[in-house]
Amino acid sequence: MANISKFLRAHWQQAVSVFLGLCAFCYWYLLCPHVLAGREQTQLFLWDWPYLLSRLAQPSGLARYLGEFLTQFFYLVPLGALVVSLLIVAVQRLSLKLFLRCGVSFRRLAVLLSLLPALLVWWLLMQTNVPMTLPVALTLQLWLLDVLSAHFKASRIKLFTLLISLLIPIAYWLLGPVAILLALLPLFHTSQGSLLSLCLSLLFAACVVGSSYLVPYPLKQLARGIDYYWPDAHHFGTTEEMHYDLLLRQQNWDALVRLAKKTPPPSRACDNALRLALYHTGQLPEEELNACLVESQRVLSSQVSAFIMSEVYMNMGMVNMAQRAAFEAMESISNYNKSARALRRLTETAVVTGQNEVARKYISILSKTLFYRGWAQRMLPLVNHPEQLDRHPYYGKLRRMYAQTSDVFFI
Amino acid sequence: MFKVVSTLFVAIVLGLLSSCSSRPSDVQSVDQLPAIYPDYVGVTIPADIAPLNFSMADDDVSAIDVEVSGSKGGSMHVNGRWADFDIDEWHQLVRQNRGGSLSLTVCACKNGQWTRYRPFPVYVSPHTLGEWGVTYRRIAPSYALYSHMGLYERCLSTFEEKALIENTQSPGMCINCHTANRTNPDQYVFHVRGQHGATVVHRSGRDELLRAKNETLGGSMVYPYWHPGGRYCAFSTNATSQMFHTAQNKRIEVYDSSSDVFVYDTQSHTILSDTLIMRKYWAENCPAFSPDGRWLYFVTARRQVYPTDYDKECYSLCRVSFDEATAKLGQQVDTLVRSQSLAGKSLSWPRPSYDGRYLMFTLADYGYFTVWHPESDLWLLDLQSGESRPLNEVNTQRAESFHNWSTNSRWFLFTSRRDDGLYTRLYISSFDPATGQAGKPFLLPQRNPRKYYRELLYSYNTPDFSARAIRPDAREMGRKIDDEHRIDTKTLQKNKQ
Repeated sequence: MANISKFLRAHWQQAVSVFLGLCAFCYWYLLCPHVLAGREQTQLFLWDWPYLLSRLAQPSGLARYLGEFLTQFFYLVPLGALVVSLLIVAVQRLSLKLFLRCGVSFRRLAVLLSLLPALLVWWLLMQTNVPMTLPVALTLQLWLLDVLSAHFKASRIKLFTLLISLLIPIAYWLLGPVAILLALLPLFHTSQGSLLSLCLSLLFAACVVGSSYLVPYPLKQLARGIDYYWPDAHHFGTTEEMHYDLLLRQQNWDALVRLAKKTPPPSRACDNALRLALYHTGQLPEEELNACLVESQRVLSSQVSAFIMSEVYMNMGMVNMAQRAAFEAMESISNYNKSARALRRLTETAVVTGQNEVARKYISILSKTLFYRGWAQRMLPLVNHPEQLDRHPYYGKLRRMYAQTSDVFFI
Repeated sequence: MFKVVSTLFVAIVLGLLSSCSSRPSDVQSVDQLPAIYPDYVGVTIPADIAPLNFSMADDDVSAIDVEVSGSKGGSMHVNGRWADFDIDEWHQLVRQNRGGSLSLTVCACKNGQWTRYRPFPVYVSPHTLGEWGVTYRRIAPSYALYSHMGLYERCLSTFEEKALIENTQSPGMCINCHTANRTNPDQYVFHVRGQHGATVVHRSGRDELLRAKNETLGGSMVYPYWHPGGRYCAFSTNATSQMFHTAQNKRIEVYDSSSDVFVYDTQSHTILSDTLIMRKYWAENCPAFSPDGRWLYFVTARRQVYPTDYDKECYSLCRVSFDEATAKLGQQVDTLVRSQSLAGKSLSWPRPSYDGRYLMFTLADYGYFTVWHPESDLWLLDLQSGESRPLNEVNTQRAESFHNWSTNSRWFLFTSRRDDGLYTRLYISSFDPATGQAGKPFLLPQRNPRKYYRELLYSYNTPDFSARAIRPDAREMGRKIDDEHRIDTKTLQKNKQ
């Protein structure tokens, strides 16, 4: 025990970081797995050059690409929680180094201060209208500031000013408006910092204005950062809806019923999810399940609601309605991303309804993802040999139901 | 152990060696045409078209070798994962063989075996396209919601594509119906829907943003068609809704609870409404002027009750005279083609050829939003004889819908879902006015068409030819759209009933 105490006193800074990381991991894994899953379904990260180039063609492109790269791991919740906690710890460690370089000599104060940016990123990650682009951009920017601060010497002020001048447009293009932090660096390292920072800030502003001539975005959006946050967050859905959605996807009916007792359904879609759970746990007769089909337009009140309804309809064998809900979910993503989860559902509905060429298209795209590739490849034989579909225990049944479904209109 | 490892090593090396080298060897010939994507076998192309790059339709083919020879001389050769022709070499060969044909001999390698197929022709029309390129909208084939979309122009001699405007320029906006006056980009109109809605009219070097809705009209200006004189533009106004199918491998039915047609005077910003084409219990739609500007074509159907009678709204083709000098419509509407004469089916999207000889339209079982009707086909009306026929040389079992002519009336383009039944693609076809026959259509060329079209999650929409590049200032247009300034339109009512 004494040895442990001695060890902790000797390495207390690292212990703070480890403790922070453990807290973050437990929080995201145990308390907010649904938020991670909710984030993952808003993108389609492809492992090919055109995808990377499409991201790098716009400001914030590298941050967005790396943010989406990390978000794909949210498909596996423990991995997602690990990624998030590592990001938070990285921010804390980088902030600590930066505070120490910038003159905070009292180490305990520096450690305390370093928790603030980490907690800021933690808070950002809890906001459903803030994608990973901004937290990743902040992290990379902190790293860049740390590297520059490590080599900053007052005797070489002109060289560093030139270097920062060159880095500002590059950092702006790759990371977005967080690059303005580069302009503030001289404030902490030289007495002429104010004037230099002002000039560098003007350079930054010129970069933002100049980028508006290169990319199809309005100036105000470029100034606040492409994909830094989504203004119309109400379209996304609430964390409560995400919780219902995750349990529905897992078909964890008992847990869903328990959740409803603690958190009553916040939307019609969640109400339908509960009805489905009650049906599967024998607490709702089948004829009452048809209430899920009512007001099919109003029930798609958010992106998460649309994903929920896609699951509900598919579960009920209403393939066309599941198809529509998945498509609407995908088309409602605020930054115009496509969704791997939605494409997976659309592949299924295309297979069941006999749209084999469409299914093949989606499979081809999903084969370029990390976590949907295997599933997509397993679906390919069904597309190439549709006669096998009738023998499939799940899709065959859906196909037979679809063939017997009367064509009526829903709105 | 050593034996096992060395055997494995030898097997791996042999396996690598047996995969296709890039040049054909030990070629087996078969007397059949190659199955290629896109299907360019037997198509007729203009001399200035971009290279018809293609792949084998079979994904398991690892290499392809193509020899091209011209009937009037010249040749070229490509070899690789797909047939990727050099643009300059291609143009030189095709121009040399204008009025003749190219013969393409394809060898394909699959599982280490090269196969040579029967050569196939590509015919080079003696007639040029007469257009620089095409414009279109790209949007996902979605239901009620939409994500990224944009209006684009594409040069038909190269693979160059540029955005005219994208909806990232003014977040949340929907843009559509880009329509030039006889492919002349000096005059065009398009719509913006959403928070900063407007109808954008570009004319005489200026952009005018009209207020999206007119209170007297009761709705927005929708489907446009310019009068050749350039002062007037016909529009429909539509109260559009959607319903969704639960089965039948259909998705959406788009219908109008009401629609009318009117003529808009761009000079005085006046809507010239005439009850002759705005009848109470009828749905007038899809206006189009004749190339001499003396007639206004449109379709009309008796309004039905939705959703019960959704399949009874069948449009007929009509026309009414138009006097440009007085901006007045005639006194009588002529019915050119009745729905009943075509087995009760529904006509839509009349597009007269610019030489005034023919009129192309779309025919579907009912309704007018034909892109969601797999049965919809292109038909041709001979305006001299009054005879209509289906363009069987162009149609497929899947939706053929929106179409437009080139100004020399030797070519037309249209959108089709023949590829996969959902994602609309742009096809171009030659046309012989003397015989009224169309050539086999070809898909809009791309540098790597298999990869491009397979991975594209967007559809081509409302395409048209363009005589020149437009090169708009998208940034400035976005600024204008975000600006609140709009021009109000007036309405001049003419009652004939």
